[in-house]
Amino acid sequence: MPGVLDEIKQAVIDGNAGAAKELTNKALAAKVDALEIFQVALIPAMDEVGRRMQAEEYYIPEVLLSARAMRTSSEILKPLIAGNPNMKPAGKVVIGTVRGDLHDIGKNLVAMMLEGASFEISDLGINVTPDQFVAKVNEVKPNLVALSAMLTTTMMGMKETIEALKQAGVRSSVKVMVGGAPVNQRFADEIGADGYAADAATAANLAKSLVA
Amino acid sequence: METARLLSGFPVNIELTEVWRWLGSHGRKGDPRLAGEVEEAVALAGELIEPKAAYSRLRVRAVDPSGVLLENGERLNGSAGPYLAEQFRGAEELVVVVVTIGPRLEGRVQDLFGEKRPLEAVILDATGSAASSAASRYVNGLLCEEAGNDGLRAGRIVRPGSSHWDILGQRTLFAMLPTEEIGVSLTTSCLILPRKSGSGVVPLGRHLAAEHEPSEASCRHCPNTRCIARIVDIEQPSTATGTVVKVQATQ
Repeated sequence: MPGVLDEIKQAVIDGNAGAAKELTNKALAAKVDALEIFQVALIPAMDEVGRRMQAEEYYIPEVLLSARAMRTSSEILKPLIAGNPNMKPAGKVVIGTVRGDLHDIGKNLVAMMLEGASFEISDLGINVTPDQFVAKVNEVKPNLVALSAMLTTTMMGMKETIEALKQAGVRSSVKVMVGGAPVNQRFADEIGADGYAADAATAANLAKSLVA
Repeated sequence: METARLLSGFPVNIELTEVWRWLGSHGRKGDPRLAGEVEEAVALAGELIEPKAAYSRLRVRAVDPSGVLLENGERLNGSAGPYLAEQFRGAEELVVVVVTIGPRLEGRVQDLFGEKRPLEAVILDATGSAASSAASRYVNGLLCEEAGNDGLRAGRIVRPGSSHWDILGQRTLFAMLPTEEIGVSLTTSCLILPRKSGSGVVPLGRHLAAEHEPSEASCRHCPNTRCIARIVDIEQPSTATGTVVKVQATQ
């Protein structure tokens, strides 16, 4: 039933939560597999939203409208695909704003885009110490650690966190990506991060490439 | 010891175009699907914000290529020294100012994220940023007016954490004002709390040498309504109606 899947995808791209909900229920009533709806309609829709954000066709509120539409649909689907062995996350991510920094909007948006790209998120919040990152990495065994900082005075907390991951012997088991207003690719290279993302859409693409 | 002034309850005019700008519209028209949410956020912000300001006028002893030396012995220099020297050439006084809209709005933003309502959270946060900017503009307009009454012109406000001045400069500014009186503090990483707050210094003088001198009068006649250095809105009344009390700053 490709028609309804295309319609669900378009509803998410358009940020139309009402249509996304209605069409998801219509597809399920027509015996379309819940996992297929997720994989063929929702995830590609958020990929397209990310592409539009990077192309500056969409800005943050439009991305959030799409995310809301996706959540409306996925909340219907999740109970139906829970436990399905074919429903595998794209990867696990531990995310947080580093020690001394209390900014969370950018970090929250990145977490949301990663979730939209089918990553499993462990959000440690703000003002996260290197030890807290290490403990969470040991607990959930993520593929990725995503670090956020918005101040020149706190960005070195990213380096300290990477050092802590090394000292704990877990650095080689995770990829580290960094972002935030004062951060750039050069800084990411200097501190030994695996990747830098300038915005939430780029972060989702970067995460996918790092776990590929 | 310098005399600082505290201001509270002043009018903050949150403009829809400013909210869209903080949402990243980059000059495009706001998405009509979100117009209702933005208007709701502006109304909610009106209930949540608690605008307050602390400012103090200080005598400038000298301006040299390394920065600005104040009569009280404080220096504004470091990496920003040359830029400050350029902006303050000809300055007789400076105003150090901190403005906040209080903690309640950002608290509500946190709550909305916790309630899995990121769209509403981001729109309210952008509205808070617009409100914070509007509060700063109001206070800057007031400072200009006060300076004008004394025959002085005001130059461009310079802010720690901007491209010209390292954020560590906040420590110098906060040492000169009783910011605790308006509920504002600085973390060890120089983040201002509440986050929807701003700080800066404004040069005052009869013969400021800086090329860019956005006095209230020049802003009022400038057609560039999107200028980031604008210190007063064309429509905005120039008379302060807030409550002003005098206190002694601890130095």
